[in-house]
Amino acid sequence: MSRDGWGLVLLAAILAALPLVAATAYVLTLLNVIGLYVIVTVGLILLGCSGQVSLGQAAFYGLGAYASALLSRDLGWSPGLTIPAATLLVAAGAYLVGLPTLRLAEHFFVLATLAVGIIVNVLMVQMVPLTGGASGLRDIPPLQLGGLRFTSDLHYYYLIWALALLALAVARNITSHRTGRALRAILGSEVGAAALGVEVARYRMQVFVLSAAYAAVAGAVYAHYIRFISPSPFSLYASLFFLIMAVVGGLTNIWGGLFGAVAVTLLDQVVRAQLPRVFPRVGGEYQTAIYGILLVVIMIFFPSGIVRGTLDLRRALVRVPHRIGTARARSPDRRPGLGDSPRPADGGTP
Amino acid sequence: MVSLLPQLILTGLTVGSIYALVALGFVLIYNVTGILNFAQGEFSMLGALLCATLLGWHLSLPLAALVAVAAVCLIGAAMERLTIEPAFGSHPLTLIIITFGVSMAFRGLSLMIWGADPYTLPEFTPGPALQLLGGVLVRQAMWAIGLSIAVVLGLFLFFSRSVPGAAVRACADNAFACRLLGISPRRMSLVAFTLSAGLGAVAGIVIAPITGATYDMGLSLGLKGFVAAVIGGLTNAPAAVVGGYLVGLIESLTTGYLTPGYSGAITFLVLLLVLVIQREGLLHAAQRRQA
Amino acid sequence: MTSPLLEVHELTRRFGGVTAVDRVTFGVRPQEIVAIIGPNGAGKTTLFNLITGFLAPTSGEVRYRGERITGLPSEKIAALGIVRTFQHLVVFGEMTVAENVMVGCHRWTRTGLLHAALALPAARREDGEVARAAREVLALVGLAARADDLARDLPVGQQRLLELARALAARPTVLLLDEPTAGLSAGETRHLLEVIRRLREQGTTLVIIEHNMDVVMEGADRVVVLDYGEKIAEGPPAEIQRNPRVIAAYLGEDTETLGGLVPAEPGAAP
Repeated sequence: MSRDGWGLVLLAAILAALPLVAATAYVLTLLNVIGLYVIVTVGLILLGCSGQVSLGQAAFYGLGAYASALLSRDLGWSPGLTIPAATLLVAAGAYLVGLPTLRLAEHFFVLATLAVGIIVNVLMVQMVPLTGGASGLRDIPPLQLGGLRFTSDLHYYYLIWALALLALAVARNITSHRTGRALRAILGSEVGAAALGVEVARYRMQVFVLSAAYAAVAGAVYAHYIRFISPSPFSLYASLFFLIMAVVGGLTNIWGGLFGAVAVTLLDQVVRAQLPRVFPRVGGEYQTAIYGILLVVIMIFFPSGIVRGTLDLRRALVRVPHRIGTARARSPDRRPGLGDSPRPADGGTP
Repeated sequence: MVSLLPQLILTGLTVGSIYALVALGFVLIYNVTGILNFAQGEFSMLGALLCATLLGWHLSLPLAALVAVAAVCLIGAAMERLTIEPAFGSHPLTLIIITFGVSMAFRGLSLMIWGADPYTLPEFTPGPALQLLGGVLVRQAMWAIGLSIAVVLGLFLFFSRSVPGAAVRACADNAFACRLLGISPRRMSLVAFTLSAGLGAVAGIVIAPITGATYDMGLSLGLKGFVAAVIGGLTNAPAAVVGGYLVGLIESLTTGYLTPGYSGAITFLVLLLVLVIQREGLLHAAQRRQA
Repeated sequence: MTSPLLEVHELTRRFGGVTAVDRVTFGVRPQEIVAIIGPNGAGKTTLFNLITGFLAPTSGEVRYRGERITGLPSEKIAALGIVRTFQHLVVFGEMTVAENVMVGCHRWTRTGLLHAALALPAARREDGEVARAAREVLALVGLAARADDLARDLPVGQQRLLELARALAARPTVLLLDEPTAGLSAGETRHLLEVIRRLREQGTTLVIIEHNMDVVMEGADRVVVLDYGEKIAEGPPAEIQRNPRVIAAYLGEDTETLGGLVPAEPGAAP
């Protein structure tokens, strides 16, 4: 098995053992939330592997949640059915969104996803008879598979992290082999890739739909876990949050999704706990200042993500240091953050 | 309700003039540097709040406005030097994310400094509202509309009749040739950001007497100004101004005739449509010039 | 006379007021080596862009094996077997040299998203084939030693070789090379000529944009000359060398280029 494969097995072992060691409600809930975010962020990073960035990932997350919630609560379907159904629905929606937008230049694509995200969020708030509006949807049935009823944090812990590990494994697989090489080629040079027969539009669409599906699955599980959803966790702020997680981990680095989700969520917990002590004013989202600065610092100094950036830094210190900001420090076609890619660990290179 | 229409149009033109100013800021920076500056709206917010604070320190309105605009220009320059220049040469998406980060940082810092409550600014020329064409127009709205037209004319003259203006335009067209002529694209970038920051600040100070000044006014102003700029094609300043008025009217009309909540969605739907219709081709995007 | 494999018929491309390619017509027969020459700005690269679907023609047609391919997207044209290289480099900087070449194998491999996602044996088998093919091609062009280096760390000359290797890995039927010898040393150029000849023996047809007249004279079966977008001459290298229109078109170019065309007069500088 490859190095990545063993890494996953090790991770699975640690995760399985964790609840036996630290099983407080707070820790479990936190881990569950992190697990869901890992899935969403890995989806975003998959998209990043083809050179696209989405500012609407939270919209797909939310659509998955609402779809599954409505199908199970109002139509009486079992959540075991509505989660996959919601995922398929959202994937279909992503396909429709992608048709006109994926051929836009990258910076316009970001804006299109921004627009879609905002529109979806507004609809969530406005279509009150369907979605309950700003007050949200209650009484979402819990997940039930066969005889097993998922009601406790622990149940969802195993489910969520099983899904997260699966998501990581599948994403890692996709970035290897012919598909992975094609994606990285598109990232490297669309024109060069097309000249070799790589169907740029088709790969872009596949990855976009997949990344939306990832978010939708996480959203659907979220709905049955918390059993209450409202539009606010699915706003532009949330999309930016997911972007920050992806950026911290490295926009094209699958394992970075894990790292980013963990790091940023933990950071958020710390910030929420500590900040009111320093700034005792009530209300508002001070965290945005910190996240904003974090985002800027990372994109300037660690564009390939924190881990890779630190490794690069070590390498860079060995060479002659460049003055930051000169054109010489970056070659014309270099794309930090969006140009870094995972190496296939198994037999991909002679 | 037919009688509502003139009022809606007047309101639309008023906010539209502000969107036009913000859009101009976008277009200026995009033309010179190729960057989409998502912190543009925050310049307006900073201008309004700084002006309010200065007024609180008993400066006269003209002086407070002037100092506030100057301060925001400095902030814009600082932003360019601290966050854009170090990332110079990066992929355009990296830069867009950076400007998003900066806008978040500005918002958060404003919240810390000024708190969440709205501040009020006085009208430039206090007095009763004007009855116009079946609707009511507050006096400040005349300032908004008038200023936006004046700024457009001023920019037009600057770019077409003055030497520094020509230099900026030349740089926008061909950065490499500019370097050969001794014009530094880096300096042009600094000029663009400083100028756009000033534009944003003016917009904020002009609209604040009507809508109030809060720490989060920049986000929606920026997004709508951005839509306006895209409608104008992102490179065409007069079209961006028209776009601004268009966005203002669409927003006003949808708020009046549909449920107010939907107006945001409609504006972004317009953005989507414009993006999709106006798509750039593969080779064009691949040739995105960075000085 | 064998029918042409690739045909260009009255191909025209206008950009506003400028006609970059003006009713160019010629054919390329199987296993022929055709050189496209002309002064700078003559429209040679634009012609390649038109043939390979990167640019849509204003009018005219491109035919491959008798079928119209005008208007097809570039990916489809490449999938048909018409592969090109670029004058400006489009190597995949963040991938290794070997990975770059493996992307070249894309058009004759089949596994897709599902195979990759589930890590099916077919995907692994294919990876092995592709890796082997890449090794062979790298050995052919002389880049085997740098297989695991990042493409962006290569000097420009080697990046050009990499692009060529990538195109070769695609096993093209028609290979369009845009200034393949630019930045290569004399030894490397000689090696390239050998590679080209060997390719032709193996069945590949080649169309090459070249400025290096030695390469053209030695390597090409036929030469097509463009000037201001028009085809002004076509024929074997020796004929083109003496063609007064061609010489006139190059007048004003530096003597290096001219030297290849005009036979030296006794006592004149080389």
